Amino acid sequence: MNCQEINRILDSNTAELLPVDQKKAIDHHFGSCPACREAWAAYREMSALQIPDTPKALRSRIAAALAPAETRAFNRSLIVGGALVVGAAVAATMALRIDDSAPEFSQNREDSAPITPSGPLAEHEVHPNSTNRVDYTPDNNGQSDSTSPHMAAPLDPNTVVVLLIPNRELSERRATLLDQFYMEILRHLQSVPGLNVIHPEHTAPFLASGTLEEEIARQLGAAHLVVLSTSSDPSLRLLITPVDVATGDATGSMGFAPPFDKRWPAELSSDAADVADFIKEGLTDLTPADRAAAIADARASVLNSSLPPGERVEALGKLPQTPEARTEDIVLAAVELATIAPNLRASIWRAMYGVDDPYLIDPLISSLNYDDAEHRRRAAATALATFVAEPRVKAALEQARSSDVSETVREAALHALSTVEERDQLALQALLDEKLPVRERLGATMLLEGRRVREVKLTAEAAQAVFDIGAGSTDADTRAMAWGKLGRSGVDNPNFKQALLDDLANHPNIEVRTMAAFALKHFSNESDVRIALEQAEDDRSFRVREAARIVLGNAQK
Amino acid sequence: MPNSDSGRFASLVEPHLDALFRAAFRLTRNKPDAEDLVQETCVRAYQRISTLDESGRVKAWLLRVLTNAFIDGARRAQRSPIMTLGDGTDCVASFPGTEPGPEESAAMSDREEQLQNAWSRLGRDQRALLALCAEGYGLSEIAEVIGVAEDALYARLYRARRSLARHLKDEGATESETRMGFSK
Repeated sequence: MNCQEINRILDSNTAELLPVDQKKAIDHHFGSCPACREAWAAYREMSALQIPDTPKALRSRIAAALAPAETRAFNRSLIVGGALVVGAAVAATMALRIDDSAPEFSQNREDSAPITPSGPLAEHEVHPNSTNRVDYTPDNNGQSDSTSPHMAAPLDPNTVVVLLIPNRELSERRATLLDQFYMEILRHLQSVPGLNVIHPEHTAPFLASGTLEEEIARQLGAAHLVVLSTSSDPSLRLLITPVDVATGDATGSMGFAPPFDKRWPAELSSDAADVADFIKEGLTDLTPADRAAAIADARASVLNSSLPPGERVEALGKLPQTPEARTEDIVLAAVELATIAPNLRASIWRAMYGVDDPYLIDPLISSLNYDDAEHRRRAAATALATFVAEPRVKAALEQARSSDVSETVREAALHALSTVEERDQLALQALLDEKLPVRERLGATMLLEGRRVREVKLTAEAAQAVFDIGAGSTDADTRAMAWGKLGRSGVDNPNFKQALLDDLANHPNIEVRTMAAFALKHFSNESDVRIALEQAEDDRSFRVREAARIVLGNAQK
Repeated sequence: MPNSDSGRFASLVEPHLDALFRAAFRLTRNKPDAEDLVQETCVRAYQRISTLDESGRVKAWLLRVLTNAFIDGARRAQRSPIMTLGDGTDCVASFPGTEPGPEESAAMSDREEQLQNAWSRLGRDQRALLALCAEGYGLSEIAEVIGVAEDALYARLYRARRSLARHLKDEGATESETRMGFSK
């Protein structure tokens, strides 16, 4: 029996009920598999720890806590006051997040646009890896015939399987929002050049067949697995668990409580990008040569008219947003695809965002004016922002802004009508405005950072303002937020270094230390910073250690 | 809330209080926090009593509230809505606690301390899973409590045990192999 079968027996039975042959099989397996043996032994030992009797006073304590309302409130706040204080902190966090998404500073609608079930990833001709060598069918009706996971076929280090564990208890609205969020994460993952993402759609049959999660990945030849699931907590916490398939170990775990009380919070897209980054950091280590080869492959696929449109559009989405990758022939192919596969237009327009080729203008205007689907019109409006200086583009956007039946399309048109300079100016004004709350000022940087919030640089002036806010704040939330912004800023002002070093070494807040580590990446070639980061690799927090490790690793590259 | 609700609630909870405390102690590994957790569970459950179908399984419902309260301890303590759970060390200072109380510390052997430390390093989700399992609940019950499909539990349990073993090893454990056994 393999590990999977042995552990299934262990979890499903008690020793008294096990037939002798199964007991022998387990002993035999333990004899040859230290991982299973040690895991089971540790669990048994933990289980055997003594548990005291229920304290007698507990009953009366609970009774007091559940006394009639007026006294109950007092008792509860007295006894679980700590929890209430923390609850208030969470409320403050939510307030911060709402500040961050203040309408005037909201992110580009392209990023914040919801992807509905009928949206891009549900445009079913787009199947990640539809040319993949993998047969998306469970072996033996989902049961592996491998004798041991360690004897499985070689796993592709550039392939990740994404599993989505459905939670049937969610309300329809929350389930829809959750789907949108997951689709955003997938979209970010799929845009990583060279990374093959096997979509949950392909893995659902495996789950239905009862195949173990790691086994699904093994059967699909993927070295990485990401499990997306939800807790049933009323506050709806998403759980994201990347797993190293070869070892079966989780490489981390992220819980996430999005502010789903809003319709589609603008910052959710940024959150999805963060989650995707968290996943990527744990699963991929593509070399530059890998990336170049992947980009070349993607270009060849886009230009190959014998391939199905879905595969070509998928390849289009994998091209980085650089002029070198999105050449004229790619633009021509994109327009051709938009004509022959109108149901894929939203994905195509997203892929063409920022491409300054006038050949795109007419198809985009046509899509904005005549496409039935709201998400396609919205994507067209967003992509037209690049050409807003053209009178006919401006006229089309103004028309959409005033008369499109969809609010989100109207918003996208309004956003597209403002120029980059206008938005930057507005954001910088807000960032430097000391009369505004600091969080609102930091929120303005989202606009300065632009659509690709992790890549575009802050100006030196903006970065200085962000630093001043962080350094001047005793509030850990604000400080961490500022350091996070600096980490993405690309600004290596030496005046920032000491404060970041101090926080990395001494700040009691994990988030502050983590963000300080990331912000120090700009100085990671300096010996004192390297020493500090190496010390941070021993930090008590997993997140800080990971941040330091990543920064040091990138510095070595 | 009228007193009749309070009475009804007491009669529903009382038979399960020991089970709640045992699960809470497994999760928190110390008495004061376990008591706090049970109380928090009862307060939460009381507030939601109207959603409980009395014919339903009260124990599973209460355990669910309890595990959610425990997991929430980490969530509430985090500034960011994004938090790392995998290592567990981020959660040590959050409510309810995961450190042994003075009483437990005094009585704790070196080996227990190693186990305690390894346990604290697990993610709260993993602790919830293993604690329920160690309490002897069946997979279908655990699935109901945790709110995930039963089939998904096998891999999670396996991962949780592997993580526990790894952390225990990190803590310098060398004896575990001699204590193995497969009975539950």
